[in-house]
Amino acid sequence: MLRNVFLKTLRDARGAVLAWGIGLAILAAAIVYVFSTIRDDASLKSLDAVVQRLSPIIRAFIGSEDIPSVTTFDGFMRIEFLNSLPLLLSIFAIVEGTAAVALEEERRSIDLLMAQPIRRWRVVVEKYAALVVAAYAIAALAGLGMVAATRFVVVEPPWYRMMLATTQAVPPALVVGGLALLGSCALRRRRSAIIVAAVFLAASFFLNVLAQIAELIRPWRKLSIFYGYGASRPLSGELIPGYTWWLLLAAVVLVVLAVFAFGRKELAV
Amino acid sequence: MSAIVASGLAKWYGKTRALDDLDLEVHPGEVFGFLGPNGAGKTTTIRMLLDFIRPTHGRATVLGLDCRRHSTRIRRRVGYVPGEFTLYESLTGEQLLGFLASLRGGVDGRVIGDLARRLDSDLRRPIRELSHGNKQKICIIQALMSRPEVLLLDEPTTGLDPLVQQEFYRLVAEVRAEGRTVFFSSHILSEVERVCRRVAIIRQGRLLKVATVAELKAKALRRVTVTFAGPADGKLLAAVPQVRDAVAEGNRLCCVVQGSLDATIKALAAREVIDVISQEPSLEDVFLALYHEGADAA
Repeated sequence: MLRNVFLKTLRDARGAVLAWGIGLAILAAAIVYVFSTIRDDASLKSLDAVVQRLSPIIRAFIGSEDIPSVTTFDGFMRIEFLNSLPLLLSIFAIVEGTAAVALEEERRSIDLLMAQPIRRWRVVVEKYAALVVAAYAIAALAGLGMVAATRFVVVEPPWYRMMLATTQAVPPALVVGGLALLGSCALRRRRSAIIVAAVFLAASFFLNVLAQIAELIRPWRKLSIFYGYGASRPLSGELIPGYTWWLLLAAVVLVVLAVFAFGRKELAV
Repeated sequence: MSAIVASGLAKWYGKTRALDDLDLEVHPGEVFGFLGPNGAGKTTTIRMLLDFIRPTHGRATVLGLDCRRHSTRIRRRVGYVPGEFTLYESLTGEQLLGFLASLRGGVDGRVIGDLARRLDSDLRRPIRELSHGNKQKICIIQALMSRPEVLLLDEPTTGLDPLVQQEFYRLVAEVRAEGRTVFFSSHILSEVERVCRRVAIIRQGRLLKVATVAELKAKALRRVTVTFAGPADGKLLAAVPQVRDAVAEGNRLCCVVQGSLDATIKALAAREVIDVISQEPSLEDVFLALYHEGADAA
C-alpha cells in the first residue's frame, strides 16, 4: 500500500478527501433537490427577478453577471453551487499544498523521509501528484452527489456533463495548490506559505469579481484563475477554449519552481 | 578509502559559527565517537553529511562520494538515527518500516523481524500510542534494517531503557564486526567509551581532539591515594611534574596525576608504601580535562 511518497500522501489525505467530497456531494444533492421542488414554481421566477434587481457588485459577487437566468438548471446550479466550487477546492489545495514540506519540517518528520535514498524533486512531484488526485476525487464525489440526486428528479444535462462540470472546477485549485507547494518548499514556516497562497486566492477572487463591474480592470479579468470557469457554462458543455490548459501550464510552472526551491532548501533543524 | 572525510567543513549562520573548519577522517569498519555538549556542532556535521544543510565552505565525503553531488547514492548506503524526530503517527511501526523500506527498494522482512525481537519492539501498535523510547526503537530499526555500510547515529540511546541499551550496544558491536562503519554522536561519555575505539571531541563548532579512547585515558587525570608506613610528606611528589593538588593527611597522601603513573611510583619508592589506590579515569574526566584545556586556550 505505502510503496512511495505519492501513495503515502494520498493515504494521509484520505480522511480530508472523504470529508470534503461527501460534504460537497450532500450539498450538491440538496441543491438539486431544492431546484426540483421550485423549478415549476413561481418562486423561482421571482428569484430570477430578485437577482436581476441586485446591484451589479452583488451580482458579480454571487457570479450572476455571467448567468443569463437562474430559472434553468444550469443557471441555478452555477449560482448556488458550481461558482463556489473552485474557491472551496482551492482552500483544500492550500491546506494540502502547504503541508507537503513545511508541515513535515515543523513536525520534524522530514529528517527520516529525506534520510532515505529519494531525490528531492521526487518528493515534491509525488506530493503534488497526490494533491491533484485528491482534488479530482473531491470534485468527482461532488459530481456524483449531483448525478445521484438527479436520478430522482428529471433535469436536462446527462450525467457526464455534471461530472465534467465539477471536475472542471479543479484546475484553478491546482494553480493555488502549486503556489501553496512552492511556498511550502521555499519558506521556513507553513503559516507563511498559507498566507502567500491565501492572499493570491483572495486577489484572484476579487479581480474576477471587480473586473465584471469596473471598466478599468475589465481586461485584467482573464488573469484571474476564476475567470474561465465563471464565464463558462460547464453544465451545457460550453467551456472557454484553452482556459484549462493555461491553468495547468501555470500549475506545472509553479511545481517546477517548487522543485527548484526544495532542491536549494536547507532543512530546518 | 575512508568511510567519512570532512575537509575544512564549516557552517556559519550569519556571525554564528555552528561548525568551523572541521577536519576529520573516519576509517572503514570502526565505531567512531563524536563527543560534545549540546550545541557543539555534532548534529550540524551529520546533517551536512546527509546534505540536509549545505556547508558554508569545505567539503565532506561518505564512502568516497561527495555529500553535495552524490547525496542520494550516499543515503542509499547510509542508515541514520536523528537526534530529534517525529514518526508518522497515523501509521503502525510495521507500516512505517514498510514504507521506508520501499523507498530503499525493499528490505528483507526477516531482518526487520529480528531487530524488532531483539529490541523488544511491538511493530503492530500505532505509533501515536508508543512512548518515546519505543519510537526510538523503531527509529533504530529503520536505520539498521537495510544493513547499511555506514551508520550515522545522533544520540541514539535517548529514551531507551538500560536493557535495550545493552542490546543496542551489542548491535553496534556486530555492525563493527561485519566491517561496517558507525559514526556515533553523543554527549553520554560512558556509552562512547564503551562502544568506540576512536573519539573526536568537539566544542563550540571546533574540533578539540581526535584520539583513541586509550590515548585519551592515558592523558586523563586520575586520583591517587597512597598509604605510607609512617607519616605522609606532602612535598614528596613536588618534583614530579605530572602530580598536582597533593595533600598529606596522617599517613595518607592524596593527589591528582595526569597521564602515566611511572614517575610517581618511582618517586614513592623512596618511602615504605603500604597501599596505592588509583581510580580508573572515566572518559568523562578526559572530556572535562580537554574541555577546560580548550576553554583556557581560547
